[in-house]
Amino acid sequence: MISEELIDHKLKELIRVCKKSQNYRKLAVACFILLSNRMNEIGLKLGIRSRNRKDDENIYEYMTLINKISQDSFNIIFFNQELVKDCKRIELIFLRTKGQLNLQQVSEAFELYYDIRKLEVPNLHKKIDKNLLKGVSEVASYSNLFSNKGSHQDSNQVKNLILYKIAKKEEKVRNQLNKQYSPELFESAIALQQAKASLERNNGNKIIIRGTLKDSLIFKDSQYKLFGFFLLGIFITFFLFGITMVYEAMENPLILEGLGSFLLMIFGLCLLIFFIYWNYFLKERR
Amino acid sequence: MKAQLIFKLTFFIGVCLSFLSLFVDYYSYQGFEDGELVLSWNLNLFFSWTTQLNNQRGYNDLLKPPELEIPIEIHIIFIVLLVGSVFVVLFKDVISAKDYIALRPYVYVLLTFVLFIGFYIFIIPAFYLISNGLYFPIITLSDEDIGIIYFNFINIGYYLQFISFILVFPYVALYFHTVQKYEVDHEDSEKIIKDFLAKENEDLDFDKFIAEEDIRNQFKKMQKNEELKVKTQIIREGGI
Repeated sequence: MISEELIDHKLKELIRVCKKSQNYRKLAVACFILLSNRMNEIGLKLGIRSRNRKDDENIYEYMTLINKISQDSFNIIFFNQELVKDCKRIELIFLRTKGQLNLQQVSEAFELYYDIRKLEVPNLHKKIDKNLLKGVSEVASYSNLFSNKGSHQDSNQVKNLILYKIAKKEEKVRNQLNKQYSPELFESAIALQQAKASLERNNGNKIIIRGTLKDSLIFKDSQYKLFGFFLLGIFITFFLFGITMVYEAMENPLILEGLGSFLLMIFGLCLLIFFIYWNYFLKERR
Repeated sequence: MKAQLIFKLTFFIGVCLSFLSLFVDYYSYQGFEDGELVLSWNLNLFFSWTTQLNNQRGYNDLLKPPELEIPIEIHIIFIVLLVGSVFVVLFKDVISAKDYIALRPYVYVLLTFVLFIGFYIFIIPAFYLISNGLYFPIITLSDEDIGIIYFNFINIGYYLQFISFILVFPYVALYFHTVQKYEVDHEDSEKIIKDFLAKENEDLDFDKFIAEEDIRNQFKKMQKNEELKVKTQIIREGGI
């Protein structure tokens, strides 16, 4: 993908040569390709499929689809009706004349392209930026507090409270967005929706890491866990060993006399190991 | 990374010890009469009970412990799991993995392997040795009626399994913990969208367009020059 600066630079060059040759067809084709590519980008960022070129889906039809989906999902109209109307008019001329637009129509098409390019679309797939959830995130951290210490019912109540807060904030953002489009507000709307969705969906509280585990900061910090597992392994082995002997003593009580000190030693060791594990690894994790 | 390397190494040592334990004596049962060895049976997980005493008569034959009725297939499954675990740790390492969901089946391989070691150090003593009067772990008993002192003890095979459990467990636990607890974020969304757009978007070759128009302009210019030349010639020569 080439950068917008490079596109602008090349476009200038193309406009210069096309003006010289008075052949505006190439400019019109370039403009519609750019427009189509930009629309695809917007659609994908919003989580919508790309334009169906094989089925001759027009750009203005795709714009309408984006509008419909954003209306359903976020209660906002992404492209204003004027923009869709202009696009429809120019695109239909372009198709009818097979790209033979005059200078006026070409400049209108470019105007449309730059209007659409101005629309900054946040990436819907991006992870939630916590700053966008001010107010809500505070409640969320309380919920973590409760979920560790409180009962399941408590955590449900807190979850409902968070959902209520999110819904309120979402409504406010939507109202603002309907008054005037702003990419920041739109990003907030998406973030709030993601937060809501992730709260409603239980994903088993998995920690999400980017890249591989060895590159993760979380993992680098928790390498000491391996030593904890080592202690746990020793504990389990000796505990099983001890349990086997207890079972033996229960089967043949006479043998207990011989095994007594041995058993005491093994369970003492188990207790010591578990104490170390609890203090240095389990407690820390909690 | 150092800790992982250490525990990976301990895992492999554990696997080797576990494998070795199958071929050495797991448990021994001996009897002495007036200081003379009259009874000696060694339990091997693969070859069951063997004796080093040649005389087939007397106490040795009479007091032969009951057979370990574990089918050889179980040990073969254990060896397969052992090889599988080595493969998992070598080629499906959790530390550099990018997709933990794909690692889930391997977690089961490792867990089953650990459970199998647990079977050798817990289930066999509890449900075979003890229930057949073969005392555990090291017991000396005397039968005053026949004047034999019995010496029951776990042998090197058991110790190897015991140590191998301790050595294998940390890495398996880490593997399990990682796959359960972490999830790789595959949504490097910017990259995914870029790749997708690179496939979906129409290719716009500005240079080609510009070059074509340049050629057209040059051609026009040449045509114009040619026309001008012809016209000049006509004027100069006063006709064609």
